[in-house]
Amino acid sequence: MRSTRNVLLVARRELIERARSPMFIVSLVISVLVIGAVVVLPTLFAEGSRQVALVDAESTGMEELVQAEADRVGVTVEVSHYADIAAAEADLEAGDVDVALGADQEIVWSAEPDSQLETVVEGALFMASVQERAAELGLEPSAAAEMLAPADFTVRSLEPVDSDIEARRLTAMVAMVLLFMAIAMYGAFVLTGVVEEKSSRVVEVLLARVSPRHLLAGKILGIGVLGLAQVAVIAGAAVVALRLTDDGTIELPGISPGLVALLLLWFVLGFAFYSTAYGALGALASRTEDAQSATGPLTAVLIGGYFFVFITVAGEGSEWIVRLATLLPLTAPMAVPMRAATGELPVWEGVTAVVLMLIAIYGMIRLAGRMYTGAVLQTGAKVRIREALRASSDVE
Amino acid sequence: MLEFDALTKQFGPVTALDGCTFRVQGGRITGFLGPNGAGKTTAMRAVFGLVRPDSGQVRWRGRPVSHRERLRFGYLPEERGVYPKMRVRDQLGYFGRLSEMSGTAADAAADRWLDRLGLADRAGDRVEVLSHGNQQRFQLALAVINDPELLVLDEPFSGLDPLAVDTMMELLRELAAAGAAVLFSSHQLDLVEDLCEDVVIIDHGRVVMSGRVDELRTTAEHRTLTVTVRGTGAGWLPDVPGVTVLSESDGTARLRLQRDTDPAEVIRVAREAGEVTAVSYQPPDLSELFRKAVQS
Repeated sequence: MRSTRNVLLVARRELIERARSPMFIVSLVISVLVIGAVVVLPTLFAEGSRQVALVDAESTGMEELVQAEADRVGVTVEVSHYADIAAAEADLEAGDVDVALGADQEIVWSAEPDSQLETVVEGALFMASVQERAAELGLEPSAAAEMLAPADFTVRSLEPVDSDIEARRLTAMVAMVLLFMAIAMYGAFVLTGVVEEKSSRVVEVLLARVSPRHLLAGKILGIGVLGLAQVAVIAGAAVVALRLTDDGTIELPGISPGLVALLLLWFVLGFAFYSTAYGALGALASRTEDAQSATGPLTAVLIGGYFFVFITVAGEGSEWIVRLATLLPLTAPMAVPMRAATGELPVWEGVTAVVLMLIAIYGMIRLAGRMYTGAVLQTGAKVRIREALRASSDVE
Repeated sequence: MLEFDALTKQFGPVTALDGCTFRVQGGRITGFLGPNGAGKTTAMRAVFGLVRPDSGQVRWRGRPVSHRERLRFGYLPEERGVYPKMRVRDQLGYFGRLSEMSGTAADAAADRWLDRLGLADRAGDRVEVLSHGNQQRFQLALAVINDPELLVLDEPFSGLDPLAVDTMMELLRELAAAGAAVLFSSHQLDLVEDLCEDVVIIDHGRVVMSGRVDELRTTAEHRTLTVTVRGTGAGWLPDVPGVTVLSESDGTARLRLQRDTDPAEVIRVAREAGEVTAVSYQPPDLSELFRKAVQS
């Protein structure tokens, strides 16, 4: 199993050298910090209970009305009582309370009203005045309360409603963008790795000891494992941050272990397909400047596929066009996880997509192996694809 | 023993190798000469499978060379290549492992060669920060990390300063003395003459001359006679059959004589023309052999 050993040696070098590079470490630390910040910061800035200053005698029942309205709106408030409006305004100015209710139906803000709190205090004042008018009309307080009790009604929709659908769509969108970026980024790593070996001429020394196919395979494997590790670290950071701030303020519907596994699977599939193509096209170039033009069409296909999926799957594309995006290997790595996250992917389509993807990867490996072999030792001008395929028989 | 057996290789309209046949003996240093474009690099690359010949075979100890044999070979290509950002010792260890050495053996070999080439204190540095001369030493270490039985070097002396040339020569002698077969190409014929027991001269993809340097010289069909005559200018040059004038300046003439032409006849003519102050009569040196082989 000499060939396996060589592939693993090459992969190990890629992994170690890249993981050691300061750029990689910095980017990893930054992405973990960004994820942590995205998850943790909202909970730090989440508004706690709001302070309402009441200028009244404690027995008026106003506090109960305010609390009842706060429950209805879904905010928490704390009520404190003041003897006169001047004291309440002083605390309002100092920022210790958010709103003051004067004895004469007056609402005082420090500046702009807070819309939620506004609903609460206005509702409470309205209820107070309704109760007052009911008493004037001779109604018992208990009868008045009964009259004001919420109506009892039922709601139904003609089609089944997924209450989480908006959140799941968001999750799906994030998953697709994440996969697109990971495939593009790690595909670019393979590309620059190939071009660097060719431009530094180290490839000739290497190929005296390793076959071109093993060299390419090891490079893709090593960088792929690194990519997988980075995706896992970022996902892990997100999970840990969610746990640390587990107060129910953030919910990510649709994120299940199954979806995470699917994301990792499609990262592997999409990366295998695109990075192999990037490696083969990179071998056509002798210099970094040429690499951009050599891989331009492939990058265009990847970005085009991204927008295609974005428009058809995320938008309301017709059924067959969505199915096309799901089954086509160029777009499947982005379309499948997205549809799976929204729960709209039939099992047979998912399985067919994986099978077609595997066939496409096999074909790409065959083609890329020949191109890489034929082109990687030819220095100077950019090698044409056809020349590379023809020259592949010149090398053992 | 490495055998090139009737290698041919065509790159489109260009014939790179055209029935190239020669041998490289173990324990000896063989110089591989030829004008630019003669096919030297193609022949060397064929040893490592970097070029697949259209026909013919490269054999090592009688067996066709395959990946297994190549693990015991060392190769220094003309375009030297390293991973500039990889650390010195790591990189040597990596190439050792790729040559099927165990991790411990590869690391031990890395330390040994770093020590031998005076790079031990740079083991942890990135290759790109080494001085030019140290990078050349490093590339050499990369080629020999597996203590090769066959070492193939394409233009190993180009761009070396005189001290590095000495190091390289010493190392090649050492490896050959330990039994390795060494093949290297060069345009520096004086170096080749100093270093090599054997030479192979190739032109248009064919071997035009090969053998032991001293035998090639003594069996050459001509000799070089250099005569200095004071104060006569070019007027004295002899019109003797079998004598060709190679060059003349300030009364010193370099003449090519057929091997059976008697130099005494030429010297007699010279003495008649004036006072002869210096004479040398020698077999042709390597550069003359080379020119003759490649011109014909």
